[in-house]
Amino acid sequence: MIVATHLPVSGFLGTGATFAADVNFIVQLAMSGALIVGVILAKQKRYRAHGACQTTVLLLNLWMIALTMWPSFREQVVPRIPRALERPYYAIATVHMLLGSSAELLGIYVVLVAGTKLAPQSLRFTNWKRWMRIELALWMLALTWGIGTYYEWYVAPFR
Amino acid sequence: MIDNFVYRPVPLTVKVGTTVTWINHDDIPHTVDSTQGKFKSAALDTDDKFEFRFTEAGEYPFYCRIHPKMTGKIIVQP
Repeated sequence: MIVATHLPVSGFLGTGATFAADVNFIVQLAMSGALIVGVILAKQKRYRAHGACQTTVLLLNLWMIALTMWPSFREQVVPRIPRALERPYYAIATVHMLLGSSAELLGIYVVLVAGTKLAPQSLRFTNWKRWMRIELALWMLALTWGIGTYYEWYVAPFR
Repeated sequence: MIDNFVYRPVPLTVKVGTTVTWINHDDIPHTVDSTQGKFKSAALDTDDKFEFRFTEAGEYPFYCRIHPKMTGKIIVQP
């Protein structure tokens, strides 16, 4: 007999997280590593590989946002904004969401300008390095707050 | 009652027809989800409540879908 259950799988990192949260955590760290590899590729003037690397990370992150981060944020945090923002549990996640969304949107904009002709001429930038450095800095800042969110949600309460 | 990442008491034994109320006393959200799909709460913030009436005898294990290590059980007697 097959018995259907709704039991979620616990994470594998030894914290209080779900399996999906742990997968997302590891994927985010790996993607940030991949972005650094992408920077090295650019410094080596391997621009095609650089573009492929950064675009892949950007699209994979979009998938992770849709699959794990946004559903979790929408259920747990959105209904409590703004009244619960004085509590670290909600405030850290909200800052992470704002930084992460900005990084993702700026990344999409950079890819559109750098890799396609879709962006109108008036919105195209020419100072590539500055924009890409801003994007990388924003991404790493979002990652830092994401690690903080994981700690606040799944590590600190279980210590 | 949900307090300090624990459902109390576990197990909770009640008679058929009893309505059980869970109240989250933690300062972060939790849920009450039946492992058999019989009931499922929204994310409960501090002092939020979730109620379910048990109309059949049996054992009803449940968990928090945000923190799957949190588990509990309701035993419903005839």
